[in-house]
Amino acid sequence: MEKVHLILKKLRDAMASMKDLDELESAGMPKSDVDRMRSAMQNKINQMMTDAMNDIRAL
Amino acid sequence: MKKRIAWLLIATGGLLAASSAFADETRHLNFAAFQKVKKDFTFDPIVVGKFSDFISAMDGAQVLILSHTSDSVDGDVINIQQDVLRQDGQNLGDYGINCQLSFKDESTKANTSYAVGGLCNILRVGNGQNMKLKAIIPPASLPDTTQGVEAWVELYEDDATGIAFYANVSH
Repeated sequence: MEKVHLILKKLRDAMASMKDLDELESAGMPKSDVDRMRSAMQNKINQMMTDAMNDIRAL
Repeated sequence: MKKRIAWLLIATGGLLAASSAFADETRHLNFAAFQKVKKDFTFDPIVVGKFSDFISAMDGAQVLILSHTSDSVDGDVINIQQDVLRQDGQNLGDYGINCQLSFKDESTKANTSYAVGGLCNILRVGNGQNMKLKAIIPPASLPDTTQGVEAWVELYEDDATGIAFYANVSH
């Protein structure tokens, strides 16, 4: 259960950082670079969600 | 037979030289975060010198993280994370650094040029602490040590927390 708690916390943080990436564009980073970072973060979130689902199923 | 062996040696030498020339194009991204521990200490925008000089120049600050990303190439999204998750009663305290950086190789045939920018979150939440720093790091050009000058450039500084980020590109 503690492991699930941890994964969910990390997942919540990762999702919140997706919004922060929007600020990078206004700070002067080209849109293509921000989109690439967003895509990398989305892949990470997907992987964390898969891990979370597997851990929840194993409870 | 001797000619064949000589030819084989020349061909192997050529291949090794070509592979060595290719290897010369690889660069490593070095990234560091510091926090002031002495009130009168100030971070320099550029610190010139070898790594030992750089660390010596930070004598009024503590290292929060040091990172070396090998063989960085254009378009890399580099995640640097150091997390301590600590049980705090029923809650989970979170202490650490989470950076997502975009590395760009903007070199031309005449010159090498690299840049980095991104987002860093620094947290110290739990056990009575509630420090959260969100640092938006605009893209900044980095010194390339192969150009003859060893230097670290400051990417970002937060006055309130006394935290600063530095980076360079090495070979």
